[in-house]
Amino acid sequence: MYICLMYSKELLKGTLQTIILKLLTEQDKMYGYEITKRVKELTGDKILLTEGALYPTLHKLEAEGMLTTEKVYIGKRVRKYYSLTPKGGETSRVKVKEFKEFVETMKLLLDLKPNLG
Amino acid sequence: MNLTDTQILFIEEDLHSRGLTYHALQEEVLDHICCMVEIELENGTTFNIAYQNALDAFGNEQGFKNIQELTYTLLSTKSTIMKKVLLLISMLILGVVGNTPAAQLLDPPSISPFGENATYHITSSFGMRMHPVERIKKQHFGTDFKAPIGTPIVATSDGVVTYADFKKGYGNHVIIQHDEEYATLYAQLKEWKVKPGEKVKKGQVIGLSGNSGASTAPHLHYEVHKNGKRVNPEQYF
Repeated sequence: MYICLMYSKELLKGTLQTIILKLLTEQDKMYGYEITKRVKELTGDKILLTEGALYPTLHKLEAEGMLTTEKVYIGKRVRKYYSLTPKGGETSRVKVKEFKEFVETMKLLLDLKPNLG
Repeated sequence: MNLTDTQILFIEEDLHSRGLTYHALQEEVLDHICCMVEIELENGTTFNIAYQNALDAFGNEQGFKNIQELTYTLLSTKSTIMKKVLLLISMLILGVVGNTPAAQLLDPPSISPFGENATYHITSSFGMRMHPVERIKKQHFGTDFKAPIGTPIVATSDGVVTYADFKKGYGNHVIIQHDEEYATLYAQLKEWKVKPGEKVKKGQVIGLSGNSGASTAPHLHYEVHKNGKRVNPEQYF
């Protein structure tokens, strides 16, 4: 699912939608290349999205009504910008909240003190 | 550092020859690869190496095949998948699956773009012809039908809309991807009635015919794409 220097793909599977939706709450509209670049910067190269996973997911989110698109013509190129729909914004909040809670819960399990274990 | 038009055109054609034929992905993958190449050029890499690195990042031919299949699968309707499963089961029962081409599991276009049993008038067929606007002998990659402005145009098979926009030449046009193999294109429209990402049924109105783009009289230009190659639409209705 991802090329990733730090984390296994099993660990990251299922988080791609959350990552995309969250980034788009921070920035009104983004195009595919910009999303990969931003994730790379924000995570200090620890998470590198593969293009092979990114575009199918963007198209799926668009078909589900989470994202709308806008095309900008730059000479011979067409840049496709994605932005959140109200439904996408709501889903983003829910997914981010769910993931944060999951991380907190995992901490409980992972930070067990030896005397408790 | 911006790529020149010639370099962009080279990449566009090269990607097509490497199997990137799914309309819904072509434009943005082209832009993505151009961005990657430009960054490397700024760092002093040569064009050829920068372009090869970008192709490697996508996984080359196999990568393009995977990304297109995955996108198509994620967009497919459950009914399309069910239809294929049912067809496969019935073929297994009939014991014909071993020698049946995979094409039979697909959804090729099967009616004219005016609807099932509707009358139509072909004004220009697929093949070499004198181009009506450019006045030179040129390959015509589709079928032209006479159509008064505002004639409802329908999807010729179930599928997903991958394009509904204006482009020089085609004018207002719609592209529908039907399965991994087939797509259809409807051009010179007055307007489109569907949007990219939308699922459409065979026979559903997708737009109204018009006279937009490179056109001398109201007509519909219709194309059938098989694995990204334009084929004679008249075999499909």
